[in-house]
Amino acid sequence: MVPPRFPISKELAVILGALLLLFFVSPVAGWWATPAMGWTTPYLLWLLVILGAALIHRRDDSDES
Amino acid sequence: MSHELATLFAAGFAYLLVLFLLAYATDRGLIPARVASHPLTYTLSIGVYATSWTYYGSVGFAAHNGLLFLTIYIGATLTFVLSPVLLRPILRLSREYQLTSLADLLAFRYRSQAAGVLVTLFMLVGTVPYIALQVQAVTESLRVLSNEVPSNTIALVFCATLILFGVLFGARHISPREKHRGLVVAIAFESLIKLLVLLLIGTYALFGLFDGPQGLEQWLDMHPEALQALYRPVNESPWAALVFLSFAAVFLLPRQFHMLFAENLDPRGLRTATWAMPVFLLLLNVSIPVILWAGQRLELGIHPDYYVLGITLTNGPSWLSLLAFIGGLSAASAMVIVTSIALASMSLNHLLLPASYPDPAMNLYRWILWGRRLMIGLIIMAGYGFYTGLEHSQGLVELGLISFVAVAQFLPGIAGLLYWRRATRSGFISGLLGGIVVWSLLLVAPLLFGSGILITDLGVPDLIDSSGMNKWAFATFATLTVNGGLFALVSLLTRQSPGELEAARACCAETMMPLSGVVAAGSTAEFRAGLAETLGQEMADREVDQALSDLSLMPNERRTAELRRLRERIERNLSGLLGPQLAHVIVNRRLELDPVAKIALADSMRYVEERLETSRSQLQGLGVELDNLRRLHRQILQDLPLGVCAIDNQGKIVLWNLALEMMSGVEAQRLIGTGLNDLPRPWDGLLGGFARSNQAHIYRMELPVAGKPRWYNLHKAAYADPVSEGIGPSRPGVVMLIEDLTDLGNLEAELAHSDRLASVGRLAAGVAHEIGNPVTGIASLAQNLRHEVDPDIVRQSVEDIIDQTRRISSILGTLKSFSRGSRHLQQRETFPLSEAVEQAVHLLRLTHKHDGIRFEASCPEGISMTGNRQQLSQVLVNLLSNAADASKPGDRVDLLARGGGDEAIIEVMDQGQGIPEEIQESIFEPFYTTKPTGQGTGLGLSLAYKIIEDHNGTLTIDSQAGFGTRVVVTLPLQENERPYAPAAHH
Repeated sequence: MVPPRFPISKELAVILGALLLLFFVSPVAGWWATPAMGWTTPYLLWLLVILGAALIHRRDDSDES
Repeated sequence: MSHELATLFAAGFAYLLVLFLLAYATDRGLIPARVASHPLTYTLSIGVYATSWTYYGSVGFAAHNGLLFLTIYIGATLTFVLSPVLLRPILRLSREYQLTSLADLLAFRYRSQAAGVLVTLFMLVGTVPYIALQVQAVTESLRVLSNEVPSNTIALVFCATLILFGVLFGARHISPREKHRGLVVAIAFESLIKLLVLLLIGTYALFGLFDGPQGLEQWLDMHPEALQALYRPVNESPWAALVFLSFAAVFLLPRQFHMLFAENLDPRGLRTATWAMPVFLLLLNVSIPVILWAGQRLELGIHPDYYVLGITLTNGPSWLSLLAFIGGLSAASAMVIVTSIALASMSLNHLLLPASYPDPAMNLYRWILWGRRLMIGLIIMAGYGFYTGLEHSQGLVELGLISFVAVAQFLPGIAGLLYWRRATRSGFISGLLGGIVVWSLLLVAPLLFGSGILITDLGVPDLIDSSGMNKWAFATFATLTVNGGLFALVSLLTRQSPGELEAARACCAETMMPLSGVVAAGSTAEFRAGLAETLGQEMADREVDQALSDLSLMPNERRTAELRRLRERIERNLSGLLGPQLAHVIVNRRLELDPVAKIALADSMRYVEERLETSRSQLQGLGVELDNLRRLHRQILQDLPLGVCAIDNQGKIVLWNLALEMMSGVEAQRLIGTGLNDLPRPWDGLLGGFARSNQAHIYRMELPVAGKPRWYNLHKAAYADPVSEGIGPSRPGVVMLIEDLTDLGNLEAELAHSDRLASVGRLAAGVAHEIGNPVTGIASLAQNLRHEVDPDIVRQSVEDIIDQTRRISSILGTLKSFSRGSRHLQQRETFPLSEAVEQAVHLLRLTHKHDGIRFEASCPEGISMTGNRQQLSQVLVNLLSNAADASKPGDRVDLLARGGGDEAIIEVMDQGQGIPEEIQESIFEPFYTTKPTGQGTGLGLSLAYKIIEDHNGTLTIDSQAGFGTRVVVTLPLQENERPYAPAAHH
């Protein structure tokens, strides 16, 4: 049975995600870029982005294999 | 505390020696290949991105711009997040077309040597200062650690060592297929060293200077301005420009392109790198704020760029500061080595070779190898030259960002390459030139003004101030707006050349590019001769042999499509040596294509199928469904238990399925694309003859295979070319089915033999009686002879005995002849029909079962039959036996044979009860009998029908209940013409 597909391609989803990140990175920075958040917050957010991307790519790779 | 310059020099030299040994051990196989090709090794080798700018400069950047220093790595992270749509397609292209640099890639896509030249020159201009920056970082670190100003000689020794390393480990192989494993491992090792040292220094700063995280928190509470300085620039400055620049730099910088694509040992490594590289960058930067605050706490009187060294030098153990120096040396040397190798390859392919192509009489391989080595030396020395003339006050970040903006100018071209097939060569060159001009005005001119080379700043600072943007954001925006705008506009206004169109299709992953044109050279020998005019004989031979080996083709390949593939492969292989454009020109000139001749459908389809097999993961949506359907249909044809051979409208084999592979023992891979005449014997004659003949079906075709006879049924049908269907009339292709009857035929022969033996059994009583009479006579004659003395009577008695024994021999001979097994149809002979008739009647007369029935036979002499004598006798015996079984004593059974034209007609008539109409349909079925159990096998009539059919004859029955039966057999007198005729092999 053919697995259900996303209404948009994976490539388009990734590009849209990247554009959103690019455009909203400055406004979002206003939320976390305050001394009250501690100096490690940017690194934790960065780590979250890496983990999210790794999860997406893992599914992507298993689709291909 | 400070170190002796000599100590630092010795430590640096020892470290570089370790690097040499590591690369050497890898190249010699002392380090397992799995280590070199491990995804984490690949990831670490991409870590060459982090140069001395990262190692030293990040602290300085953070000191002035707070957390903005992270943008240089967040942009890189974004690139790896977008790996499936950005890096993977480029990796695919670079591996498939052997493109070793960005200049190769762009020259290939835009089919332009000018594009390659422009990219290479711009890369050189943008990157040589960056090399100088690394030299500066090393000498500056020496100055910080030793409190002495190092002489230029030290920088020169450093550069010379890196040249030696680049020549030894980065220019060992000529072909891009052969990767430099030693280089990959050495660069990965350098990345590991700089990461570990930076983490170690960060740990030292945290625990050695702040007494742990709590101590750091307390210090930050006491100095809130430190944390505010870190965050303030984030809210005040735009992130986007820096993120964008690093997004481009992480895969477009020459060193990055080289390690990501040209030295990629296993494409799967990129999957790991998509998360591992961002993790590497995160770990590399996690210590930076701590080191910055440690430097501020210690109030070091040095530039923040060198806090990494300063904090270890002031308070730390001396080994830690030495390690810090090694980490910086590692970052700088890796960048210089890889960048010089990458630029050398670009310069050779796009500047040196097009400008002065060597005499073909020379060994071109050696020329290329030494040319590349020379270029490595020249590039590093150019970096050294720039360093000596550099204004030392320039920060590390300043020069690094100028390079980043420079490489960002290739982004529009890359976007066009991957996603815009309409993009043209003129558009790309116009855009790039526009971007270069603006980049020079906005970034290079002020630098030259600051160094005193220009007497005016051209009003650039005022222009930037008036824009309200910071310098990097404005430069990025302005250069890319001009570049992208010109690129799009000129592309829309100009047309692509056919070559560009072809390359554009190749670059778009979703497009399947069919082979077009036929190579004028018709053999590999002509390929060698043609290429030798430009490459020299030795190189031409090696390249043709290499391409033949890559494609698993025979050395004497002559198939049109295979030669077309060979040409393409040679171009790709040469592309890795000489650059794509030069390879394209050479191949076009020496291996011309006949544009009018068309590649056969078979070849075109095969090419598409091969591409579909290798790029299945790129299909989406309906394409996947269609491919599934194609695979299903193909699998059905492949697994069909009948041999299937399809030829296209040019007589080339399109399909040769598994059953036919089993029958013929010839693999499809060898045959697809060839003509039927190229088949091995005896298949050439069988299928070639059948394809040419007008017959749609041939039954029981006998063919000697491996010295043994085999039998086949052949069927064929025409099919229309699916490509030209609906466009106009097209010459159809032919699909042939080959059914192997040999096993079935053997079973039938066994059955017929059993039936004959059964008949012999039935005849046995009569035969015994028939033999018994002469034996009795012989016995009486012999008894009388015992007392006979009259010589005449003795002679007469002996003659009588001999006559009786002859009679016995005749009976036994007939029986033996009838019962002898025959293998199918192979025992064909020409014989008088009358003999077969007499033999059958004789046999029937032997049996007493049919006493009282008169057998009358009439067959003119002179009718010659060709066929299997035993089988035809068996038919006549079966028919006469059936007729006798249906008759009553006193009835007569007639056998009338006559010749008429090309055929013989044999009629067997009886006066029996006839065959009821309702069972006439069933009497030819095997095992159908109306006789009592044990008196008939039910095979006689069905076998008779089969044998007559095998002899291309007919057997019909005319019967009416109560009026007897007439069986009519019609047989051709001569064998039919058969299509099998072995073709002459050349």
